[in-house]
Amino acid sequence: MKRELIVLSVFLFIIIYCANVFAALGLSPAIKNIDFSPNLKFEYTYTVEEDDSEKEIEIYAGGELAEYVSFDKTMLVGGGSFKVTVELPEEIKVPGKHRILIGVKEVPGDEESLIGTSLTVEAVIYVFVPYPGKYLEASISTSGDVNAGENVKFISNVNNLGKEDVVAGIGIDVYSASGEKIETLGLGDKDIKSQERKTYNTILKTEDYKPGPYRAELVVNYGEILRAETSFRIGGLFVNITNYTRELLSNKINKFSVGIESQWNSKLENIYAEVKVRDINLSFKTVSSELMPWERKSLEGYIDVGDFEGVYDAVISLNYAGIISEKEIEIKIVKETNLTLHVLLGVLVFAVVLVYFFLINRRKNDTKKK
Amino acid sequence: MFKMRQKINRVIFILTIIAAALAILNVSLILTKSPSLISLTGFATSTGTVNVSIEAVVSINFTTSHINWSYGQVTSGQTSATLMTDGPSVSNGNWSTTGVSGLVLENIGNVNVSLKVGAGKTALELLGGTDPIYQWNFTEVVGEEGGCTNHTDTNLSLTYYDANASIGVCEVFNYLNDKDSIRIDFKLVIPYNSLTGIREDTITATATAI
Repeated sequence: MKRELIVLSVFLFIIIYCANVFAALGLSPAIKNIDFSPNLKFEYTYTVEEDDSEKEIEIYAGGELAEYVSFDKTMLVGGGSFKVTVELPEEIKVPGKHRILIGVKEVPGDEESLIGTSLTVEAVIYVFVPYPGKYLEASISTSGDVNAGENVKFISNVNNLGKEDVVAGIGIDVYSASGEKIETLGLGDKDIKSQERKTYNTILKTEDYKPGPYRAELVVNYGEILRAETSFRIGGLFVNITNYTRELLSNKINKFSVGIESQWNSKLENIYAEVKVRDINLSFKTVSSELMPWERKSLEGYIDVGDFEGVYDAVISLNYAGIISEKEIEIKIVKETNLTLHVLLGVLVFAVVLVYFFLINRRKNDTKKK
Repeated sequence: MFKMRQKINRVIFILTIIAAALAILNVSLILTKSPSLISLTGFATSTGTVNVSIEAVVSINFTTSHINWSYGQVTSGQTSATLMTDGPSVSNGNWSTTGVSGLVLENIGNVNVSLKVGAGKTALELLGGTDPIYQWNFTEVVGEEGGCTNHTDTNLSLTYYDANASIGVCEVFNYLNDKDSIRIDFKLVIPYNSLTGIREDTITATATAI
């Protein structure tokens, strides 16, 4: 019994402590979209989450259309739900996106602290008022990068935000990195009614495409030309050597880095480089690593070049997925300069010069006195 | 007769053993094959779809909701005391720093928000006296960098500015877990001739869904 009381006390302490330290306020739904029509009336139910079950919460409306909002209640205690009714007017003169804010605000309590806190959160109702005449907006995105031979999915969104219905000719032009148009995917003529939002999915087959970056342009012709674009990459099973250590020190164990970049849209495992310095018959392997799609990283290994000096031909062999990519390079091996010795020599020379001038000056003075 | 009965008993005994063995086999089959009973029994399968609608929530919290330096006074002979939550520290006064820290505000919803913060009082209203200071700064929480795109009203920095009625802090305040917090620290300079008694102010954080 005594033990249970202790556990209960600890539990109660934690609850009370947490109640003092944390404060959270939430409101959902956070965002709603609605298309304007004259005298449109709609209702939403909002849910309020509040940590403190005794906290008073005010409900309010804000934004340019706040005057058209009413609530079934204006106060809550410790969370709950409330209903919002919006009765839009006959006309909203300014076309475009209008914002109604639905807010809930904690009423500050009587805590005795120098600085207390209060939270307010606001959800948004966007009201879209159509533009006069024909007005379209468009966007395009892809399902992501692919590997050679895999399909690319284009997602095209065309929104009619004008008051008139339109017939639009829609197509997607695919361009290479150099700007050359490769092909056009025609989606045909589409009827899009006023305030209608359409999404079109299109598949691009990439069997005949070379690996590399591409650009896709959505072209919507509805009397006017509307364009939107996106980019994507087609991966090839190739890892590029982008950089490497160019200079090594003799009589020292040197760190050698090989910078690599994946051109492949899948993960590659167990990648390593082998570096062979010709003529002096030295070689080493870097540690093996994995490479995420399109990732750039550095492979590192260590090499002792003994007392060799000069410029030597070498080859970096990059091993991955059963493939070996080679790059011919030159490596310069130099002797390490002893900085301390140079500084000491410099100081010595400076001291000798100083003493020399001091002696010359003294001799001149002695001559003058005589 | 006795031998006959003995034989019957033996047969019954053997049958009992067989029955028990079959029962054990049956139980073990049920236990081991229960997840795939459909394949054992030829149970027909069918597929269905699951529809889930996830509502967007705008939600924030103060992981520390109060700052309380308790009771104290300016050291005799000094013109003012300085209290800071960053540290925390108190100089030229005997207020307690126990449990005092800056406020940490977190976006715990599942949408990005814009964030405004406001103080209820000015330095003169809160503290009174000669040249009181009531200032704040907004900084990134270590390990949660990059979650707050600066608003044109202010910069995220250690520099203190006068607390005011409403200031835009984040144009976009991210909800992703590793970048959803900012810290608010305070600097108070309490003059020797300040107002006395319990002095209080409320900091209001307003998050609007975007």
